[in-house]
Amino acid sequence: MKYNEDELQKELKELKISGSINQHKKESMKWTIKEHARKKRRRRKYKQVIVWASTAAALFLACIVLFHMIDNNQSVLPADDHGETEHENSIHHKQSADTSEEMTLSVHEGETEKKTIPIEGMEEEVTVTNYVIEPYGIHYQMEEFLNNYQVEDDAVKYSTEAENAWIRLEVAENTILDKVISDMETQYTADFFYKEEPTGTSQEENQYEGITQHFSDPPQGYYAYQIGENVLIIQYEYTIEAGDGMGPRLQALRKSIK
Amino acid sequence: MDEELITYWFDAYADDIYRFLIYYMSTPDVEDLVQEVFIKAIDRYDSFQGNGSPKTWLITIARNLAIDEARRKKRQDWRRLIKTYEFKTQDSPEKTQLANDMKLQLHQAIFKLKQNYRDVIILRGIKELSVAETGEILKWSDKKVSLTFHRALKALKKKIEEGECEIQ
Repeated sequence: MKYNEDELQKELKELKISGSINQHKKESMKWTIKEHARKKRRRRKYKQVIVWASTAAALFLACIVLFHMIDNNQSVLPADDHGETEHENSIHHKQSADTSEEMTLSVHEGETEKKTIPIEGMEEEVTVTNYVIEPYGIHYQMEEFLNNYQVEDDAVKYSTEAENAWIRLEVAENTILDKVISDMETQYTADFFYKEEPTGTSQEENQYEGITQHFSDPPQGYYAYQIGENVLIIQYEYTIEAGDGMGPRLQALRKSIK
Repeated sequence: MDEELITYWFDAYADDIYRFLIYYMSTPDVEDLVQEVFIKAIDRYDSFQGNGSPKTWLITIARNLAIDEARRKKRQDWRRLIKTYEFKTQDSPEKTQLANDMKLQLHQAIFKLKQNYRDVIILRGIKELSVAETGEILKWSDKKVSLTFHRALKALKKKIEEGECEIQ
């Protein structure tokens, strides 16, 4: 059998069939296809819900993490605030560091009360104020003669209105009396007219073991008491003019320590 | 893909796909493949280019399925295939038999062509798709479609002239 190209193409067109799928079969196929489309759509919706829910959960967790990061580090503040915050943080850390090495001293002023002390051979009723040095919990009383006080670094200093006498209280942490005496020797190095040797304090004044040393002129010196692991150091100085009343006032202070 | 769209496509193109698969598989037993074509279309709808022709896209799916199916099993059923043709009732039984023999010979010759020749003969020669539609299905340029179709016709002519095809 021989064909030219046109005849062959004509024969190919003759191969075209006009048959179609049986109508009953077609309906059955259509139902199956529609059912598949429905299932596919349900699966897609389910997947979308899963994706949406997991994305929402991830975003929520990310927000929580971010919030904590901002809250803890302040890492996303503007530059100025950031700097300020860093500064604040540095202060905070310094304080923390200080706290870890040496606790910050603060003084709590309490109520006043009347007390009788011997001044120049006469019983005299004076007003004393109760104070507490925190965080050490050291209680004491100070007579109103020395009613001006201010906290200086790790100490509190009381002085008179006339500024002719002062008493300074300091807490040396985690130390012993011998060490404090040694430190005091470096402070009282002037060529004093009068200088006592360090001596033990009276157990009748308070319950704590202590050392005292007195110098002059002008009259000055210190008392050191071992209170637990710390040492309370009381330094004083006054002029000759204020001298008559300072001895009894210092004694009242020593007695009030608890 | 919503049910309305796939139903519309099925109504519009199911018979076209059915006939294409008959040509390609050389058997009228392709209804299950037609259904599979539309199921694949639902599954792969995301890859359908909205501006493309649904018909050529569905034929592309059908062709790929037919190739896979042909690899799995030989499904040719020449005698049933010939029965799908309608003949004019006034033709004599001899003439009808001769026409049947010629069609069968042609089908067998097409089936023996290499893949790309068979593709272009079915799409351009039998289904009479345009060069552009054929190119879209086979991912060929228009020039390649025309050239390959020309070569495929020559190869088909040679197969027939060599008389390699016989009714089995």
